[in-house]
Amino acid sequence: MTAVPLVSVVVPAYRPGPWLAETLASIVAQHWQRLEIILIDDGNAPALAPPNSGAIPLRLVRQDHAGVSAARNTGLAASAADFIAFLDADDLWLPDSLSLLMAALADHGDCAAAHGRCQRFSVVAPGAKHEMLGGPFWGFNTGTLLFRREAIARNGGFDETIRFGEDFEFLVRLQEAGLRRHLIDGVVMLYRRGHGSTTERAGLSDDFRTSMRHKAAVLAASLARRRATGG
Amino acid sequence: MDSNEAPWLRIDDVRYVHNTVDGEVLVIDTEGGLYFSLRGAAAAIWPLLVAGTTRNDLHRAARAAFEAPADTIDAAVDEVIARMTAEGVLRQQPEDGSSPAPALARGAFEPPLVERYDDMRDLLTLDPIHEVSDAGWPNAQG
Repeated sequence: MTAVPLVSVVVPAYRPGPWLAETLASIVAQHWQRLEIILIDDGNAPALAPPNSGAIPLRLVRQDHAGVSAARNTGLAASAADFIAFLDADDLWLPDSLSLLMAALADHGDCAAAHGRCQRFSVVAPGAKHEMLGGPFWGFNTGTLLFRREAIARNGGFDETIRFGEDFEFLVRLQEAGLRRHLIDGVVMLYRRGHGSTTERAGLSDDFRTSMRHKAAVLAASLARRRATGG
Repeated sequence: MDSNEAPWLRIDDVRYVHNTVDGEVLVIDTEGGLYFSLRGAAAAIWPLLVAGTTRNDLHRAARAAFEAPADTIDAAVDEVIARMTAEGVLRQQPEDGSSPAPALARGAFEPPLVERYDDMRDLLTLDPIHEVSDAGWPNAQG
């Protein structure tokens, strides 16, 4: 009989506000129950109190404030699971998110990651009704991906020097290394909007162009690496 | 300045986004997911193509900036114009006079190098930014 694989879910949290409990609840509610939560307190003051995660094991790891990339890497180092997922402390999974992603990796042994769709939503207060915004899409949010551990280990984790677009940079390095993602149609993550998250900006055009300029810099670094190694 | 009759060349800055990193210009095609690397003289003359210019003014500015024979410089400039025009990055547009032409940095001439990549197309055509708008990203279809 084959053992059900363990999934580590890393949740980096810095000033998560009132949303963390709902995020953790969405993890606990996963149909895929062979999982552990690694909650990273990225230097919050006061420190996060250990939350109740019911039957799902939860480890609370505290570090000095070092940013989301460092927090994810801390979680990665603390995990011994063969499958790793990341969910930001204000976003949500749907109950079958991990099941869908695990099934995709089981069916596609050549892929380093499974990548589902994202759906924006807005909520004005904890417990209030979710209002869906636009349609589902494939984005860069790490919460839409499930990784094989060895792929991340080969990829070197998240670049801790980057504070914006670190998810894109991570995926570029994955692709650079020839590690494939398998895209699945299902929505796996609800992406919270409208509460002043770190990436919110005013103005569509400026947002878009700023993001793309960051991506151009990431691509320049990728080309430099490839030239240095003759790749 | 050149005659108003001369074609005015300018990058299509609606579709293409660029950034210069350590002297290399990276240009992303936001619709097609391609990207270009420009180095050498191609990167050096890029600021004028961003501001908008004519072929003759570009020749003039490049000759003043680079230490190389004029015909070598002119050929290099024409090569960049032809390549970037063929790729759709550079377009002939009405002169709008909105951007004053910057002076090119003086320096040694390095042959232009333009490279085109499509290896990150699937990533670049994903959601280009998390926070596009509350209406969602319009190219969200799978």
